[in-house]
Amino acid sequence: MSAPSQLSTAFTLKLGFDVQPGCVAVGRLDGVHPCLVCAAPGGKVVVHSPHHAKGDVQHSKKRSDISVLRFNREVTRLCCGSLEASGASQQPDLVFVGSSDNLTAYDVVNNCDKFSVEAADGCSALCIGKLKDSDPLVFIGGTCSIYGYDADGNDQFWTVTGDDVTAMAVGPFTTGDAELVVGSEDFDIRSFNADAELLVEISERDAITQLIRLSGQRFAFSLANGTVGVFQSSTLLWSHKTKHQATALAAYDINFDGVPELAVGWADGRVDVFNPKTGDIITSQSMKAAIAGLAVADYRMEGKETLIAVSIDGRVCGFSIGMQRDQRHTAAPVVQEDLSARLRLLQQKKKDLQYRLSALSQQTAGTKRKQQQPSEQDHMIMATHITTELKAEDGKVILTIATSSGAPIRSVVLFADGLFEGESYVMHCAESAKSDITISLVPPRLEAFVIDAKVLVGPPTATKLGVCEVRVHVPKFASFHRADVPEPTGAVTFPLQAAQTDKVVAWVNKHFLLPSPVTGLVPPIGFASPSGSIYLVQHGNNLVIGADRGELASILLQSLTSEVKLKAAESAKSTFPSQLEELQDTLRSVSDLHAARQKLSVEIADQSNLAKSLLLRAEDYRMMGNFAMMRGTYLQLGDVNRDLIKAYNIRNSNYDELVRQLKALNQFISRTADLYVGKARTDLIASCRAAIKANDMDQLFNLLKSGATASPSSPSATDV
Amino acid sequence: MEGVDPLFYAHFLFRRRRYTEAADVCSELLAKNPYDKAAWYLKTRCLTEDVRIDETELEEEGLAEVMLDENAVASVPRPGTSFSRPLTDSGSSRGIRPMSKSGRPVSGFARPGTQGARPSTMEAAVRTARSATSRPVTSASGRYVRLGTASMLSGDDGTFIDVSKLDLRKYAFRRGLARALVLYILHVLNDTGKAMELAAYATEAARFQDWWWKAILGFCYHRLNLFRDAEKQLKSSFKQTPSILACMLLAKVYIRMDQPQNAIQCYREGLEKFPDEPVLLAGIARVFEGIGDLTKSVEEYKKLLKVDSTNVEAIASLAADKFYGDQPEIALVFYRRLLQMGVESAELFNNLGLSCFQAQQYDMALGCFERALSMADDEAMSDIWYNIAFVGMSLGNVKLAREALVLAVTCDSTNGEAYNNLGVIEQRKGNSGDARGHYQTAIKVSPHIHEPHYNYALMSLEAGDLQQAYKQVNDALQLYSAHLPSQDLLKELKATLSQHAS
Repeated sequence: MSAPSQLSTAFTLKLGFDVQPGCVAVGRLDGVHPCLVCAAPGGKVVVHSPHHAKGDVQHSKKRSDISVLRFNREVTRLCCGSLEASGASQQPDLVFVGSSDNLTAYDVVNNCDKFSVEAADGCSALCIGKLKDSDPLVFIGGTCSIYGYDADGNDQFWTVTGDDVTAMAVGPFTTGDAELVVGSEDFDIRSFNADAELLVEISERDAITQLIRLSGQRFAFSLANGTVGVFQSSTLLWSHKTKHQATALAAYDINFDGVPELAVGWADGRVDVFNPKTGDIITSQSMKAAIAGLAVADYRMEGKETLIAVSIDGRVCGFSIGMQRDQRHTAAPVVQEDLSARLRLLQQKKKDLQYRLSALSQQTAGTKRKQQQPSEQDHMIMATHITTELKAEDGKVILTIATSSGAPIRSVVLFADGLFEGESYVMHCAESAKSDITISLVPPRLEAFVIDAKVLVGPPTATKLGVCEVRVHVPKFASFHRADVPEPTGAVTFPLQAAQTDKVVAWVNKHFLLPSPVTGLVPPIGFASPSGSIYLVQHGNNLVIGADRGELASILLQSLTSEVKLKAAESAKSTFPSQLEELQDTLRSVSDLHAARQKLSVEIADQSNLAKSLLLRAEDYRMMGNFAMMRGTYLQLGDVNRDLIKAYNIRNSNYDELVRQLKALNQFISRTADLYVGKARTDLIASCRAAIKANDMDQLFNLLKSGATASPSSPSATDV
Repeated sequence: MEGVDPLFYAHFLFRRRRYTEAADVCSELLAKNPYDKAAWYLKTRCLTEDVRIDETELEEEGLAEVMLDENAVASVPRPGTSFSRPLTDSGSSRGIRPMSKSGRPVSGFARPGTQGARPSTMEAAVRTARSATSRPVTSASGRYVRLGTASMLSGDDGTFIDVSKLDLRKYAFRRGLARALVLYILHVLNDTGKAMELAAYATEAARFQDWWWKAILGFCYHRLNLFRDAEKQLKSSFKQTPSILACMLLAKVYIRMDQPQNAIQCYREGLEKFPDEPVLLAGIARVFEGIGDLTKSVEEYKKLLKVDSTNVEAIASLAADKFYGDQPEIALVFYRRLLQMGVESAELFNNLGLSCFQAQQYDMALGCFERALSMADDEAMSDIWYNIAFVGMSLGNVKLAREALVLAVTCDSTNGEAYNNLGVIEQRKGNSGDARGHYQTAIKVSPHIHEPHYNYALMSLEAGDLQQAYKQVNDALQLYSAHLPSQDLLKELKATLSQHAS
């Protein structure tokens, strides 16, 4: 058995700048030599280029390896890559710099912008990739929207998601073709194909923070609560939850088997390498400060890849593999891995057995000391069965736990990821021990949960307690209780085949908490909760989903269509009059805010010019020794400065408001699109994009009102 | 002009560029009928054209922008890709081609922006602004404000148009009037904010389909130093309808963002649509000159001269290149061509004199210098006297040279080269005290030239002041690292010092 792969430090260096988390990339900026690119606070981008072209020798003596690019905007995301369609090997990489309102593609070697586009929705995720049948695009994710730009800065891709995009990756995920996999704030991982069609939607337990493609259809993700995991074509292979948050992910082949392992950088400075199949830690290293980013590149141009970790205090550490390089092909790696896995398994087993042995010996020692026969109480405890019952009540879910034998319950430990704050919920009832107990749960969002409950049973006097384990399934729409509700204002109507009625009924029975199962849809079924009421009814061959709010209806419809294949769902018709008013307000305020914003930035530019000239004039007076005038000028400068700050604050709040409204708009489009399925959904999104691009708010409003997917006939125009 | 329709007469005057008279005629018309749109339009045009300068070629960065703005992306760009780091090893070296006050190779044609480089400290910046060059404090306030004052004089009955009282939205829909009005606001009232407001309404009124308004929007953004927005508007304008205006403005924006490659690219795209457009060719040549690629710059100037055989800038630049390229006879031909074209200035005669002298036409040389002196102002005078001194020194007439140099520094006390030469003459005479004084003055007034440092080092070495010599020779090498005599001197110094140490 050979030594396991180890990481050893290959080189370290200091950048001399703090590095922003998530803003680390490596690119061949001149087409040949790798350079490390990091973003520093204050809108700076630091480039470390250890190699120089041969003709550049006399300059390299004078130049340091580190150069600084100034973008004058706080950099939010950064990546390197080429958008040229031809796969020439010496294609220079561009640096893509995303800020809250702009994306710039910059050619470092020639000191020029390739393109610079406005990103009204901000830039919280950035990645480069090639979807099926298209040129490579750079994807930029912001508040609820994703844009894809080609090499000339034209947008070729657009879609909306449910919430702020936090991570993106490109690769074959569910199908064989490359897809855009998107993680967002609303805990969802979604996958889109080249036509921006939603392929799959996976819910996680917290906001997604990172997403990368490892190999094949294998993707790794990390969550805000410290979870790291790997998906293999939308099925979860493994996930681990830790105390620290993962701040960087990278695919790095540590054992030369051609399948990259998962390297994870943590907020406490550790760098771990995980086995992508099992989630075992292969090796670990650490740095002094939190990891800002990981990158994999042949950084020393020696023919093998190095794992580069950059910490937030600007230290760079290159790790290379300790194993000899020529061992690479000698041992059959599959056998090796198999052996080591078995060894690990056996060791685990040994530990378990030892633990059980020690527990048993303690127990026997205890029984020996007391020399007691099992009492009647114990018998009672042993015979106890737990029954649970769920009931929906006013937005809460009432969980009732009772013992069959009437034995009092001492305490209950509930464990469910994402349902409670901090995963678990413990309830003691030592004083008034009863045989049944009710707990009211408030599901934070509409999602199915699994609760693992441990019920400790025993009379108050007992020294030993029985532990009963029971698993409770909370359905997705558990917070809705059955009620007779008036017909809601909005509704989605679509045709339903007769054979499908039973399936819909089954779906209702599965996903709602009902006092008694429903059998048909003809007397309308109504549900109520604090967040709104819903209503299902069958009118002849049509199924009507009524809801006060469009988002509720869209969640219901998406859940229904995922289980019942509704062929005709594309021809759905929906009306939500109350929300259209809100939409109108949003559209109006967006255009108002746009206008105000332009005016404000002009004012600020004017003022800052004035401030600059005042500063120079004051300095001039100082050098001439005219202190009276100097004082006057500086006082004036102070006033201008105050005005500037005021104007800046106004602009800031204007901007925040604008972002909020745009988010609302994007979410509205997304929700409206969710009322449709398949091609109708994609078409609607595309038409909305065309309307936004043409700045045609009336068209957009009509689209969202009627959901008409007919292509708009208005003259196309470039945006402002 | 009795009996002629006054409006026709006003048009007649306007066409002949007699703007003030035309405006007066319009004023009379407006006094009779204040709602006469035609007269109002014509008067606006007259007042605008009276003060308007074509800014598409002119680029002048204010001191404040130079000192306080960081528009350039790269702080240490690769040499030759930025205006702040010109190529040092292309074209002629510094030993042959002298530097202007700013430390750039002397160009054949003086434009705003060619004299001033980026000063390193605020103090230096303010000082040069006051004495040597006439750089405005900011581009937003400097030149434009000066022009703005012109409008106040013209309005004896108050200003013609009070923009703050106009409903700009209404005007945006009157296409002709809006265009005249926006130019009036920009050039006469100099209120970029208002102009922008009008332009924004007008593009909206034109459903974002009007390239001219987009270009004007870009122009306004450029004035406000909002380069990214300017770039977007100008690009969109050029894409919709290619125009030289948009192309030139876009290149200007790139130049301000210190992205010469993009500027050249932009000019080239313009040339595809407008082949052989002299303005664009000149633009490319200027950018190449700015990044220190003189060879390519000369090529572009040659192309320009083929298209436009009377282009003064191209002729002068080529002449300068030939002169410093050791072909004074050909330079002479170019300068003569300029004379033929009717250009007559002290600088031209000065250059002619130098070329004649280098071409060994001594009799002509002194005559040219005399002509130059007769029409020169103080700054040019100083340079002419300096050149006369150079002639004197070359002919062995040290007395003439000294007299001329003294006159040169009298005319312009910041002429470092003259001080340096004066020092050399004093040193030759054995007045080392005076010589040191002159060198020190030269270093103080012109920190960008390396010669006084070298000379000072040489003198200090002779006097045995090794420390001073070491310091000065290092300074000289810092300014011009490829200066061979300094390198030799440093080597020698190091050898001496190590001897002393052992």
